[in-house]
Parts: sequence; C-alpha cells; structure tokens
Amino acid sequence: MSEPSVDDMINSLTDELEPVKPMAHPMARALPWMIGAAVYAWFVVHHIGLRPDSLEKLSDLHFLFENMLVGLVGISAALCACWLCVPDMRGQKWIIAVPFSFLAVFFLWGGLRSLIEGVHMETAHFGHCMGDGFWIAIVPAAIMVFLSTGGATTRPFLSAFMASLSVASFGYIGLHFTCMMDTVGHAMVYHLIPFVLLGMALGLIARRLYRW
Amino acid sequence: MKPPSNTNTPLSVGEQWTAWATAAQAGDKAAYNKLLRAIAPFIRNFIVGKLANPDWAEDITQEVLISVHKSLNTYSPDRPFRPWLMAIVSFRKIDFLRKHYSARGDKQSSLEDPSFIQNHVTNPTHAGEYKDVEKALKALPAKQREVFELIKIQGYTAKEVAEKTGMSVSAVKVSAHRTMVKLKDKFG
Repeated sequence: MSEPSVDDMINSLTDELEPVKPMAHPMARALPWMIGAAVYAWFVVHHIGLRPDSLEKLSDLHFLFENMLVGLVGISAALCACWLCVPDMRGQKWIIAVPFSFLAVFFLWGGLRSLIEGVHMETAHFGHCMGDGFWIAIVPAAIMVFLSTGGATTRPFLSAFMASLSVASFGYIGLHFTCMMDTVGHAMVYHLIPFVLLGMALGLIARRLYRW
Repeated sequence: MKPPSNTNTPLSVGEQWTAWATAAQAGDKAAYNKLLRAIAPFIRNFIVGKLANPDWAEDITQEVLISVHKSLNTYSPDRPFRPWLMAIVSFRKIDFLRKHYSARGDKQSSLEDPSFIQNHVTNPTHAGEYKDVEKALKALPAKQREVFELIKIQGYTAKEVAEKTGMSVSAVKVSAHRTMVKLKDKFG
C-alpha cells in the first residue's frame, strides 16, 4: 500500500473535498465566446468605420473565401482551445489537426496570392491597423485567456497558441472590414503583427499562465 | 461512460473509478477517499519503472493526487476516468522530470559519489552490471585504464588524452578501441 505521506495527503484531500460542478462541455464553452467575439468585433468595426467599398467586397469571391478560411481557422482554434482545457481532451486529440490544417491552407492561399499579385508591403496604415486590431481583439482575447486558463490543460504552449490563433482570426477578419489595403504584404504581415506579438507573449508565460 | 445502474452487477475497476469520481464531484468524501486510495498505488506502479530514482515516484504520485483534486471539475462523468487520470499522470511526470533536469539536478553528482547510481542511472537494477564494468576496468593495465576512462567516461578527445598522457593520438585511439573490444567480449 502507499507510504504514510501519501496516506496523510489522501486524508487531507478528502477533508478538503467540496462538491464541484463538472465543467461544461468544451463546445458549450466555446460557442458563447465565438458569438460574443463576432458581435463585439462587428460593433467595434462599425465604431471605427466600415471601409467605403465594403458592400462591393461582399461580392468579391477572393475576399469572401479568405474571410471564410480565416473564420474556420478562428472557430476551430477556439474549439481546440476549449478542448485543451480538459486534461485528456475528452479523447479527441484529432481536434488539434483541424486548425493547423486550415492554417496551412490559409498560408498556401497567401503564398499563391503573393505569387500572382505580388507582396506589396505598404506601411501607410500600419499604425492605424495596429490600433484597430488592438480594439477589435482586446476583449475577446481577455475572455479567451480567462476561458482557457479556467481548465486544466496538459499542453500549455498549445493552449496559448490556440487562444492567440482564435483571437488573431477574429481580429484579422475585423481588420478586413476597416482597412482597404488588401495586399498580401499588408494584410498578412502588418495586420497579423499585433497578434503574433500576443501569441509570443502568451507563449513566453504559457507555463505560468496555465499552471494548475 | 455512465456507471451501470444495476448495483448487483460487479463493476470493473475502470467503472468503479468512474462511479467514485462522479460521486466525489457531488461531494461524497467516502467515495473520494476510496478513489484516491485506489489510484495512488496504480499511479506509483505505473511510473516507477520509468524513473531513474524510485523515490521520485512518491513525489510524482503526490503531485498527481493534488492535480486530481484541483481539476476534479474538468472530469466529465460521461467519459471514462482512466484516460483523464493518465493524461494528468503523464503531464505531471514530464513536468517533474523537466524541472529536475532544467535545475541540472542530474549534473550535480560525480561518478565517485555512491548515490549517483541510485539517483541518476536510468534503471537502478542494472547497478550490479555497473559494478562489474568497474571491476573489469580495474583489472586493466593502469595506462590502458587511464586512457579508456579519460576518453570514454570523462569525455576527453583523443588529442587531449594524447597530450595528457604523452602518447600519440593514434595510440590513444587504438588503446581505447582495444579496451572497448575487450570489455564487449567480456560482457557479451
């Protein structure tokens, strides 16, 4: 049987036991975040001001495809972040592959666009885009960090990455509706820089942030 | 996986743990105590063979028990308990070893330290073989043993050993190689 120290610990833990409410299903945790993030981003984008050609852009297939792709990255990353809150991911580790697959398609899409259209890394709206991205993402980012640290992840770096990726995706889509510069260089580099920095910051403190 | 409602049917170990964990979430201290007492030796036995020092198994078991306590709310009664527990065991074991090795705890003993084998040889049951190797080394001529120990145990380069012993580099290499062949022949 166990050593006395383990026995003591078991008795102590038993004494401390309080009834706990099982954590909601990851889908039930992710869904309100996704809806909330989308609604919040929509309000912020309206507050900042929609790009003048936004209605025309809604009939641009490339624009719609890219936003849909990024949306899928964001949704799957948010789901993955919530699944990662459970130590064994409810036995569904394959979920990790989904955001990575969409992300790979997104980078492939960006690579193809840069080959066809050129990169054109304009910096004119860099400060403006960074500020807008910050306001679009700050509240969803805070809630996502709160949500993902509320569980008990066994993969802190992956959790930090998925949290950042989900926020980045919503921010990226929001910026597509405020900034008229659709070039690959501007959109995929300057629009993403604040989120890459967020991801790096979360990655640096991941072990501490997700400690339990 | 819900525990069977028919209490006359004997439960498997996994089902029993699931039932206890579900009851523990509702605040049943007796069930929780039974669960912890059942999983503690299971955890210990599972990890002890994978560790250099059997004492670590005790520490990791305690950390796992605390983690189970802290994260009990993340266990979902519709799922089997064991995969959830094993994810925590694996995480805590890796976390413990990462902390141990990042603190360079494995670098703080010399080969002369008798506790070295106990704490740092991956499988302490092989300590006897280690002693046999030591005995075989002692049986070698002094010069040959010195060359072998410098190059194969202490990690000096052939050039450094040559400078230290006053031999040529090729003589050092040949000596180390012959010693290794001799030892291999001895131990099969």
